[in-house]
Amino acid sequence: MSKNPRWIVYLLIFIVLLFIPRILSIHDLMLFEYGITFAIVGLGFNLLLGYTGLLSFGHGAYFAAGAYTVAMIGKYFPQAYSLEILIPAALFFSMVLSIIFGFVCVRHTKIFFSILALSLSMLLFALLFKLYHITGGSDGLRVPLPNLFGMSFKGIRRPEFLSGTYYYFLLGMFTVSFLVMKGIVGSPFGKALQAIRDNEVRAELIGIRVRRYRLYAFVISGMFVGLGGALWTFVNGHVTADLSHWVFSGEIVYMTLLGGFGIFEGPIIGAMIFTYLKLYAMGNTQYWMFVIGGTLIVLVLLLPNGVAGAFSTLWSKIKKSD
Amino acid sequence: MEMLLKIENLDVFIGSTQILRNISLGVNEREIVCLLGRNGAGKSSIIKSIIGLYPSRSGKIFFKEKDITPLSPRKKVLSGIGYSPEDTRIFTELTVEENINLSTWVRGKGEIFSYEKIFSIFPKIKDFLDRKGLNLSGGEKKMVSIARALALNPSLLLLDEAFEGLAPLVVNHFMEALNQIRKLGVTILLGESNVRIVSQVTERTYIIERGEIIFEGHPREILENEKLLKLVGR
Repeated sequence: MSKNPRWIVYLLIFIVLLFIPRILSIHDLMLFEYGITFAIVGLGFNLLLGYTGLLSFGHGAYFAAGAYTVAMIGKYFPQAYSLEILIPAALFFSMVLSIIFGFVCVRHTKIFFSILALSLSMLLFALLFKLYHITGGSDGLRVPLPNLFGMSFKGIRRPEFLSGTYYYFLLGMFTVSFLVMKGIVGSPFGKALQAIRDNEVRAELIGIRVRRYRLYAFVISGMFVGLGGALWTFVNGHVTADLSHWVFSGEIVYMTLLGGFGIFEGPIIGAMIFTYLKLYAMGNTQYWMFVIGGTLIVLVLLLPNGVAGAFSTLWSKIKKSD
Repeated sequence: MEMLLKIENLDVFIGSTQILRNISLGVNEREIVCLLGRNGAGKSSIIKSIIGLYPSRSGKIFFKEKDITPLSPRKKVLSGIGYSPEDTRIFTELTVEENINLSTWVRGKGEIFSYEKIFSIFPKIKDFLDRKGLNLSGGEKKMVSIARALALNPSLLLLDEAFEGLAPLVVNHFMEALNQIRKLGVTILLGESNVRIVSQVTERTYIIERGEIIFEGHPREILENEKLLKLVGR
C-alpha cells in the first residue's frame, strides 16, 4: 500500500481535510459537508455505473430511504435518536429497499434497467408525498440534531454542531466508505463486476453468477447512497419527498459524470464540484439550470471521461513525454 | 478410451432458421478432435450449442455420461467444460493476471490449473501478466483466453478458431501448446477452417457443411480427397 504514490496523496488529502474547519468559513464548511455526503453517494453510485455498467435513474430512492430513516426515527422514536443507532438503521433500511427494488431491476440491463429503477423510485416518491400524516408529505420532516454515544447537542446551534463534532464524524464515515469501496472494487468480487460490465456472456462463461453479482452490487450501491442520505440530513436539517424524485436521481448521475465514472476518485471530485457549482449558479442567476445543463453538454462533448478522466489523460501524456 | 462428450441428433434453430441439422458426434478422453469447415458452415454454432449459448430444439448433449443439454452455460463451465471463443474477448480493462485469476476465484479453492502449468504451456504470458487486456496483440489475447479457460480446470476445452489471424511462427507455437494441454489430461474440441493445420494437430476430424456433418475420419483422408479439399476451401 505504502509503495503506491496514490496512497501518499490520499494521506496528504486526509491530513488537509482534518484542518478544513479551521480554514473554511461556516458557510463554506456546510457546503463542503454537503459535498462530502454526496461524495459517499457518488462512490456508491459508481459501483453500479462505473464498475458494473448499469445506469440507474432511481438512486434518489435509496438516498431518501437513508434520509427518511433518520427523520422518522427522530419523529417517532426520539429515545433512539442517536448517531450510533441512526447510521446502522439507515444502512439497514436502504439495504432492504435496494434488495426489493434491485431484485426487480437486475433482471434487465441498459434502458430497461434505467427506466425500471426510475419507476420504482417514483413509486417511493408517490408514497412519501401522499402519506402526509406519516412522512409530512410535501412539507417533509424536520431533522433535529442527533445525540452521539450519550452526548447531547441540545441548545447548540446547527452551524456549531456542523463545524465541530459532526464534521469529524462525517470525515470518519467518508474515510471508512472510501476504504471499504476501494477494497470492494479491488477484490475478486469487484473484478467480477468489471468482467460483467465488459461482457456479461463471457463473464457467465467463466462461471460468474451474473444476475446475483449485479444484485449484490445494486444493494451495496444502495447502502452507500442511503448512508450518504442519512449523513446529509443533519447538514440540511430537513427532508422532503423530492429526494426520491427522478430529478434528484438525475443529479446523482450528473455529479458522477461530471467527475468521471471511469476513475475511482471521479465521483468524489464530481460531487464536490457539483455542490459548489449548483449553489453558486443558483445564487447568481435565476437561469441556473442553464448553467447546469450547459456544463453537462460541454462535459459530454469535450470531457467524456469527466474532470478526473481529463486530468488522468493529461497526467499520462506528461508522464509519456518525460 | 472413454467417451467424454457425446452429441446425439442435435437440431438448433435461430428464430425460424435451422442452423444445425441432426448433429451427432463423439469426443474421447485425451483426444484432440476438430470440426472443420468454411466460414459460416456451422463449426462455431456446434461449439456454442455445446456450451449452451445456442439452445437446442431437439437432440441431446452428454458430458461424462450426464445429459447436460438443459444446463445453463455457467453450470456447463463449472461441470468442466472450458471455452475459448473465436473473438477471444478477454476483459480489456482487467490485467492479464486478473483475467486468469477471475476463473480461479469463481472456481474457488481445490484442484485448479496452476500458474506453473499455464506458464509451461504459454511461457510468454509471464512477460505481460500485469498488462491490461486492452494492450495485447491478437496472439497474446488468444493465449490469455485459453489460459483463462484452463484456469477453470476443465476436462474438455472448446477452442473456436484458435489459429485464426496468427502468424505462421505463432501457429506452430500454438500447435505445440495444444499437444501440451492434451498431455496434461485435457480433451480438446477444436473449430478450425484450415485443413493443413488440422492435419497436424488432430487424428479425427468432422467436416461441417451447411449445418450438417458430412464426413468423419482422419484429416489425411481429406488431404487425399480432391472433392473434400474443394469443399473445405483449401
